[in-house]
Amino acid sequence: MRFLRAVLFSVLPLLLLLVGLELLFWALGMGDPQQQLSLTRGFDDRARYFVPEQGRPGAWRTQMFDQPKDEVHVPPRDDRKRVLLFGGSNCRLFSADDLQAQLDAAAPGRRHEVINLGRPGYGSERELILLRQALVALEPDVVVVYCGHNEFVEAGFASELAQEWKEPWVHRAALLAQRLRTINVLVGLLRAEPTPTADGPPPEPRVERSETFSLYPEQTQIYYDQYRENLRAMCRETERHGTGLVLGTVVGNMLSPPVVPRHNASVSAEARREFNILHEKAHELVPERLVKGLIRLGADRPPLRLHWHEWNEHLLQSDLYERKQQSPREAPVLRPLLPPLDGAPLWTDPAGWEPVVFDVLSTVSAFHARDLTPEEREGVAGALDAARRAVAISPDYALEVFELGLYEYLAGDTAAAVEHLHESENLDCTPNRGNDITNDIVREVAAEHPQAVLVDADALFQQRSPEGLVGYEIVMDNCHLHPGARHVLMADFVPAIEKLLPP
Amino acid sequence: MSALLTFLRTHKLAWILPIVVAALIAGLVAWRIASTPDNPFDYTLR
Repeated sequence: MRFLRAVLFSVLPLLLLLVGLELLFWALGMGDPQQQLSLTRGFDDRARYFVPEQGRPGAWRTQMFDQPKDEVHVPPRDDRKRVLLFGGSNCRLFSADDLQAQLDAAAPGRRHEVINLGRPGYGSERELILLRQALVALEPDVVVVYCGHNEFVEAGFASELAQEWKEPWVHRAALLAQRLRTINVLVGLLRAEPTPTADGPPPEPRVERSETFSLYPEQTQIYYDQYRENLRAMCRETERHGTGLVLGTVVGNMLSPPVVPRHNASVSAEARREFNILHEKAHELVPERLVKGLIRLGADRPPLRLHWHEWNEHLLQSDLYERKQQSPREAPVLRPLLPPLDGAPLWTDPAGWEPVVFDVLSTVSAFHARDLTPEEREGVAGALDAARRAVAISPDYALEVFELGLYEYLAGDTAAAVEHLHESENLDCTPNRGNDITNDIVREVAAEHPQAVLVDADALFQQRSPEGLVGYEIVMDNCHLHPGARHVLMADFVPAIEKLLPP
Repeated sequence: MSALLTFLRTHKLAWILPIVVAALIAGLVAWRIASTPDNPFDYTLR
């Protein structure tokens, strides 16, 4: 009895301290467990993506971004038709105001409200969870899903999280600990706040996922299957709630090289050696000015993978003006596009571009011009021959098929080039953008669910590109559309959304 | 109550130690939660 009393007396101060801290943080409104960034990083139905806005009945606030200022504030439901946008960073860049204005113009007797729930890095797995919760909380009339670029980015992150929390009991304990305000306040103190990006480009992601997450073809297939199932689940969920669904195929840059090429296991070591010799020979023969930055020509000449922020779309007008004064630069000439993408360039003001954008576009300009000297033509022919022989040895190696496509284009055989560029996308074992496989899955799922309306953005933008080759005129990097292209895509969504709204 | 106060006065280590251990554990758990990797592409749009 004396011992039990001693134990109780020993623990009592700790308990009182904890209760005191919890009450203090409650009174100060700090460390609310309902408002914490989920430890599961959104990969869990229990993560609460929407919380009621305090003091505004019927209003909601998202909690899915790292910084509070990025969260989406949703007003109470009114007589306007509510349209929600779901997707990754591409969707995040869509202008809800633009789509709203286009919808209002298309149906003047009706008012629309467009809410963008796009989240950089999100793929179909978390979009499905977000969508499920949004259908209940926000009661939309129509949802638009534009996803497919991030399936492997998201999978890589999920794998990284799984590595981080190897022991399930530790993970469970941490989830329990997040119910304490004291722990949440401590976490808030320990989490390094991202530096505000008043000047200069946003920081790079901490790691390139492709470096840590690269799959083999049989594994790749699992993620495609999961993508299909997630889209099907989105169809079922929207149907159950009587909400209209627009499914979009996604637009990718066909000149962005594959990320993870792999030889088929049947290619012998000796064949691989011969392959490597041919691969290098093609690089020696092809004129550098035509492909520099598009492919890896050596350790010191890697492919330049542009990032959307290098086009500086969100540069302040004052900064843009300053840059214009300092070094006015003209955009390299690329290809004219077909209506409705013809006319003014779709990109941002070149004065704001980072130098690397000019580096890539200079090459792309020369690549499309195909203005070759006789010696260069000979070099391209030699490179083409070497690449063909390499592909004959290892037909599944995405990078070689991609390079073959480039050489065919330079040699004037655009049809064969487009075919090989498509093929190389599909052979990529860990792609960082949508491709024909993901887009075919979207088409397949839309066909299975007649209540869903398909916007085949991929097909539309191919039709609008010379010879069906979608490139840097439309896409900033591997998958993010230029502002002008986004405006046109919003116009593509309008009839599909209107079709789903009652007259 | 007076028994508790007497205990706290005479056995300081017995109640300080649990607080110190709990604080260490809380710090460790909080650090573990705080160091969970962020979503890729978590940079802010300006």
